[in-house]
Amino acid sequence: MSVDITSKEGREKCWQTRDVYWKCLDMNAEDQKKCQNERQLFERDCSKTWIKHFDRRREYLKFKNVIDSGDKDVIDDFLKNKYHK
Amino acid sequence: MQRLATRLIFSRTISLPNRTFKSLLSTNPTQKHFDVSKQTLNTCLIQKRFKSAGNDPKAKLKQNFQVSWRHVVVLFVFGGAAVLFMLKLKREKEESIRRQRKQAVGKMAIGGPFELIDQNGKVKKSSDFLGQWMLIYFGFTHCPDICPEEMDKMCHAVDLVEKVKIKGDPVLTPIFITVDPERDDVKAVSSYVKDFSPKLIGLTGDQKQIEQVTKAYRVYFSQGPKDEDNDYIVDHTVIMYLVDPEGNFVDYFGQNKTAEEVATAIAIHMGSYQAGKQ
Repeated sequence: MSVDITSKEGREKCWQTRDVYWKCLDMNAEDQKKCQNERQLFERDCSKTWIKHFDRRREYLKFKNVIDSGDKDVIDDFLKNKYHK
Repeated sequence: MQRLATRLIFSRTISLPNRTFKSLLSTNPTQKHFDVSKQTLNTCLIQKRFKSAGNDPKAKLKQNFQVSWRHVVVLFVFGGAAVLFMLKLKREKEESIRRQRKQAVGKMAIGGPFELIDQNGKVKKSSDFLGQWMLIYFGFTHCPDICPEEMDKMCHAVDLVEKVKIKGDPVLTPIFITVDPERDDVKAVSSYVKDFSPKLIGLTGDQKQIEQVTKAYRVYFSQGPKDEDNDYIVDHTVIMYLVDPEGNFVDYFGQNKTAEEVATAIAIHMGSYQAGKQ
C-alpha cells in the first residue's frame, strides 16, 4: 500500500482493483485459484481491514442477489451448497 | 357554528317542495279541465300531497324540477357560505395537525448543543451554526465504502439545494463528525474533508465530546476488533440529519435515499421554514 487509504486517490485505487478481482470471480464461478493475479493487486492496494470487509461484503452481496431473485430453486440451491457441503 | 350552517341548508332544501307546490299545480296539464273551485283545489291538494309522498314518480320528478330562480339564488348563497366555512375549518384543522406533528418531532429530542474542533483546529460550537441549515453525517476516515459514498451523496445534495435555494435565505452547511476520535485527529479530518467539497466542515473532539454529540443525535457506534496492523472498522449508524437555522432537528435521511431525494426534501423544508417566518 503506497498511498494513504483514507485519501481519495488511495480509496479509489483500492475500489478499482477490488472491482477487477470481483469481476474475475464473477467470470470464473467464484474460483479463487483463477484470480490469483487480481487478488494480489487487490491486496496490494487495499488495507487488510478493508480486504476483510470487502470479502465479507461480497459474500453478503451474493446472498442478497440470490434472495432478491425470489426464485425458490435458486435460493434452495444456494443454501444447500452453503450449509450442507 | 358548522352544525348550525348545515341545519340551515337542510331546512331550506326540505321546505322547497312545499313552496313550489302552487306553481306546480298551475302548470300541471292534468288539472286543466277542472273548474278550480276551492273544494276541488283542496281535494287536489290532498291528492297531490298523497302523490308527492312518493306514489306518483312522474309528479315527483316534476316537483323536483320546479324550482324558481329565487330558490337557486338562496341555495347558492347559503351553499357557497357553507362550503367556504367548511374550507376554512379544514384549513384550520390541517394547520393544527401540522403544528402538533412539529411538536411531536420536537419531543423526540434529537440533536442538541455540542462543542467540537473543526478541521482548522478551532473550537466549533453548535451555536456557531445558528442562522444556517446543517446537514450532519457521522462517519470515520478509515471507512471502506459506505461513508465515502454517503459523503459524496451529501455534498452532491448540498450542491443541488444551492441551485434552487433563494438568494439571501440561510445557507446549508454539510458537516462530517467523526465517530473515531482515536485516529481522526484534526490533521486526518482536514485532509479527509478536502477530498469531498470545499463547503464541507469536518469535526472531531476527544472521546467524551464525541460521545456527547453522538448521544444527542442517537447515533450508535462501536469500534471493531483491531488487527495485526492496529487497524479496525467502526460500525455506526448511517443517517444524515437536517437541522434548521434555529438549531432544531427537522428531518433525517437514510442510506436508501438518493442525493436528488435528499435535496428535494431539504428544499421543501427550507421553503416551509421561510413561509412560516413571514
